[in-house]
Amino acid sequence: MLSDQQLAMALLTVGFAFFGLVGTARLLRTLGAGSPARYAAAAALLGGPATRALAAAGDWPGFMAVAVAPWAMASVLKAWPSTWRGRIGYLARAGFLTGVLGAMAPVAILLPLAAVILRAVIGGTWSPVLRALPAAGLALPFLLPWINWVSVSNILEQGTGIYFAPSVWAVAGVALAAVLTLLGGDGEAVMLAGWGGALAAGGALLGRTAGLGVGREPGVAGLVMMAVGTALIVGAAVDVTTRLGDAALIRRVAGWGAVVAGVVAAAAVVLLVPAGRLGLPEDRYGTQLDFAAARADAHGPDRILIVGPADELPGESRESTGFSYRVVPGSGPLLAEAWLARPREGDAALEAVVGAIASGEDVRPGSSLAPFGIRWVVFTDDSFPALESQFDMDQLPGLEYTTFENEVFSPRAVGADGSPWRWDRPDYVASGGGVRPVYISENQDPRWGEEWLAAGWANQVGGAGDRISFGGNPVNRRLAMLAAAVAALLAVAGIVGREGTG
Amino acid sequence: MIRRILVIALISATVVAASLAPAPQPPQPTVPVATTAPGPVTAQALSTCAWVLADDAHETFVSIVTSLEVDVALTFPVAGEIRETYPESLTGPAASAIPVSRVLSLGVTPTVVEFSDGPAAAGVVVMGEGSLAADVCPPSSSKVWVLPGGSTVSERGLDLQLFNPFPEDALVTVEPVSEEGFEPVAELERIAVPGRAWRTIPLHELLPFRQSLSVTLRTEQGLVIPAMIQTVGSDQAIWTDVGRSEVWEFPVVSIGDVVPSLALANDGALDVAYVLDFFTDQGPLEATLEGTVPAKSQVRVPLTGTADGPFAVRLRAEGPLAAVAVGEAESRVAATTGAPLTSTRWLLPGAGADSAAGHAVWLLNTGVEQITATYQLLDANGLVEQARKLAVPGGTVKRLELDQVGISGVIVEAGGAFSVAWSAEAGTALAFSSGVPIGD
Repeated sequence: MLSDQQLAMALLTVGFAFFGLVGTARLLRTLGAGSPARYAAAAALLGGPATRALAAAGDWPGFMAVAVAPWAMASVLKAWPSTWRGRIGYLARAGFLTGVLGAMAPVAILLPLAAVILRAVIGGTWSPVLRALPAAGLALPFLLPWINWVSVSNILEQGTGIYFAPSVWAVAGVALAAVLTLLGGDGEAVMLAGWGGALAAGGALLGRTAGLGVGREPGVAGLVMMAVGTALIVGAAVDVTTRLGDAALIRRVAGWGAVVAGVVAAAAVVLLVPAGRLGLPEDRYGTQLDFAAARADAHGPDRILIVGPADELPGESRESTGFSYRVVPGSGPLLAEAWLARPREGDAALEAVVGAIASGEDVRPGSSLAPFGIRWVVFTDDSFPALESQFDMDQLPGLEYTTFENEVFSPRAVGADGSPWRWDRPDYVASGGGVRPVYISENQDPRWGEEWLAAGWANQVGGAGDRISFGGNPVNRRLAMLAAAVAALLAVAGIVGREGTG
Repeated sequence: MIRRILVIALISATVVAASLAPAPQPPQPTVPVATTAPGPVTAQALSTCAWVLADDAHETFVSIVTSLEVDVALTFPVAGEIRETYPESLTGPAASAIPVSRVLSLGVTPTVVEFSDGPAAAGVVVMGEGSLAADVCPPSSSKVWVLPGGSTVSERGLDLQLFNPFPEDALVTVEPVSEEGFEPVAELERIAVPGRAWRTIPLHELLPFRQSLSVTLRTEQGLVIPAMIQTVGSDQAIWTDVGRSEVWEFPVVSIGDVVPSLALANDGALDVAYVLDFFTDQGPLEATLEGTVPAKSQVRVPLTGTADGPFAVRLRAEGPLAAVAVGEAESRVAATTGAPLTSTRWLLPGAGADSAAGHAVWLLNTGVEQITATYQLLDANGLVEQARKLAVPGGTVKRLELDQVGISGVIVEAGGAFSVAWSAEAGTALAFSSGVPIGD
C-alpha cells in the first residue's frame, strides 16, 4: 500500500474522516450531550462549511487537522486524574494530540487553549485552561522543523491565505441552529451553543484574513476552529429537545426549530457523498500533465511552468502582472510540493523572465526558460495570449490545456559536456557522459557538497562520480528527530499513564 | 439572561467583523501583447521584415540603426525551419546595412531582426535593375492589419506577402476593398500560412483592373506580418501597416514627375471625415482638402496640382484611419506609410544604404515654432562625420540631401516634435520610406 501513494492518501483521508467522527462524538460525550447530538455533531464536523472550504481548497493537512481537533479539545476537557501517574498520562496525551493537531495545521496548536479560554470567558470553568496551557507547551516541539523552515518572523505571512467565502445557504442552517438554541435552550445548551458560536464566528473571522495580507496558516487554523464550532452548535441544537422539559411554548418552538436547523446543517454531510472525494478537489493535474512524462527524454521530463488564475493552479503559486504561475516537476506535482518556500534568487530570476515573456518583450521564451529546466509551458486559461509571437516554443496539439514545448534543450541539470543529468529526487544522476562540473538549475545551496560553487542563482557542482547528492538541512533533520522523540515520549507516557486516569 | 445576551452580542460582533473582512484582490488581468491593432512603429527589441529579396537580379540590404551598443541577430525562417542566423554587433550610435545575399540567396527570404537592447530599428532596401524599394520593418504583431494603397490597373503587379515567422501555423482571411466596394474572393478566405514560412498572394491575378485596392487581414489563428508589394514597370514599392491613427504626417509624397496620391482606409463601422493640410518649404498652404472615408471602405485622394514643387501632407481625421502615400509615374512607383505621431528623435534605417542612389531626408515641422534638427550620418563604425544641424521653421517641410556615400542609416533629433521620412532615386527607380520614432 505504501508504494502506492494515491491509495495510501485515499485510505489516510477516509481513516482521518472516521477518526474525526469518533473524536467529535467523544468531545460531545465529554460535554454531556446525548447520542443523537453526538452523531449530528460528528456529521456537521465533516459536512460543515469550514471543512468543505478547506477540502475544496485542497488543503489536505487542514482537513486532517479538522479530524484531530475534537480529540485535542476533548483531551483537555476530561476530568483531571487523581493520581500523579494519571496526571502525567493525561498531560502527555493532551500534549501529543495537540502536537499532532499542530503538525497538521501549525497555528491550530493554540486551538485547544484558545477554545477553553473562550469557554471559560462565556461561563465555563477555568480548570481546563490550566491543563491546555502545559499541553500546548508539550506540543511545541512538534512544530520545530516547520518553524525553522518558515522562520518565526514569517509564521503569519507564510503562504497564500485561503479566503473563507461560503454561500449564504451553507451557513444559514448553522446560524439558525445557533440562534434558536440560544433562544430556546436551557443553560447547558446555551453554554454549548454559545461556545460553538464563538468558536465558529472567531474561526470565520480568522478564515477571512487573507485579504488583510495574512498568510495561509492562520486562516487554516481559523477554519479548523470554525469546523469544531459548527459541530458544537449542531450538537447543542439537536440536544435541546432532551432539555426542554416543561419549558414555555415559545422556548419549545425555538427548541424544536433548533433541532430541525441542526439536523439540516448536519445533513449537509451528504453533499460530500456524490463526488466520493469528501469534498477534496478532483485530480485536475494528474492525467492533464501526463504528456510531459510521455514525451520525456531519457534524463526525465524536466519541469513544467503552469500559468493561469491562482485558483486554477496546483497548490500555491506566485504572481506576476495580471496572472499567477508556478513550476512543477514534469513527473507531476506531489502533495508535499503544494506549498512554496519563500522566494529566493532563482524565483526572482524566473519572475523577471516570466514577466518579460508575458509582456511580449521576450520573443525567445524557450531560451529564457531553459536555464530553469523548464521544457513545458501550460496555460490553464485560453484567453491568455502570450507565446503567440515567439520563436522557440512549439504548441502541442490535442491537449486539454494550451501547452507549449521548449525547442531549446532544457534539462534540470547539465554536465560540462552538455549531457543531461537525471533528477532522482532530490539528487541528480548522470544519464550521459557524467562529465563534471554540473550546472544544476535549483536555487543556489551549498548543501550540494564540498565541490559546490554558486552559478548565479543556480549551482555548479564539480568533483567526480555519477551521482550528486543533496545533503538536506542538518538543522531541520535534527529538529525533526527531536520532534519525533518528543512525540514518542508523549505517546508512551500517555499510554502508560492511562491506568491512572480518573 | 445577561450572559446569554452578552454571548449573542459577542458572536454577532465577530460575525459582523468577519463579514467586513476584505477579500484578497485578484491580479488585474492584462493583455500582454498587442493583438487587435499594431501600435505606432516605435523602436523595440524586434523587427520583422516581411519582404526581403535576394537572387541573381536583386539584392536587399537589411539596415539597422541604433543609438546604443546592441547585439543583432537576423533569423531566416524557410519552409518551417530556421535556415540561417546572422549575428552582428553595433556600438551605437551606428548603422549597418547587411546584404542578404551574403547570408542567403534564395529569392524571397523574409527575416526577423532581434536586438539585445534598444532603441534600435530595422528597415529594408530592395534593389534591382530599374527597381528600388524601401520600408521599415514593423516591431509589433497584430491580429488585424489594414493595408491601403494598392492598384492593379494597367498591368500593375500587386502582391500581398504574408510572413509567419512563428512556430505556430496561422490562418488568415484577407478582405479586399476597392472602388467597387468589398470584394469577397474565395481564395483569400482562411489562407493557411505554415509556421516559419510565408505565402505570397498575387492580388493582381485575383482582382485585376482595380484602380485602388485596400486589404484588411484578420488572423484567426497564429500571427502573420504582411507587406504589400506594388510593381510598376520594373520598379517596386513596399509598405506595411503601422496602425490606425487620427493624425498622419507625410513629409514626402512627391518627387519630380511622380503623381502623388493618398490612400485612406477605414475598417471601422462609422464614416470618418478628414482634412488634409499641405506644407511646403515656404510654409503651410492656405488651401485644405476635405473628404470622408465611408465605413468599411477606402478612398484614393489625388494630390496633383496641390503645390509647385515638393510638399508634405498632414491628415487630420475624426476617427482612426490607415493611410499610405503613393507616388507613381509611367515606370516607377514609391509608397510609404506616414508618421502617426510626431517625435523629437527618429531612426532612419536604410537611408543612404544604396550607394548608387541619391538620398534625401524630409523633415516636416507642423508646429508653429522653428526647430533645429541635428542629424547624424552613420555607418557600422558610428558617425561618418560630425553631426550637422538644420533649421526647420514652423509649418514647413525641409529637404536634406544626403551627399555622403557609405552611410547605412541616419538619426535625427530636435528640441521640438517633428516627423521625418526619406527618399531615394536610382535612375528611374524611386523609393520612399518612413522613419521610426524613439519612444519616451
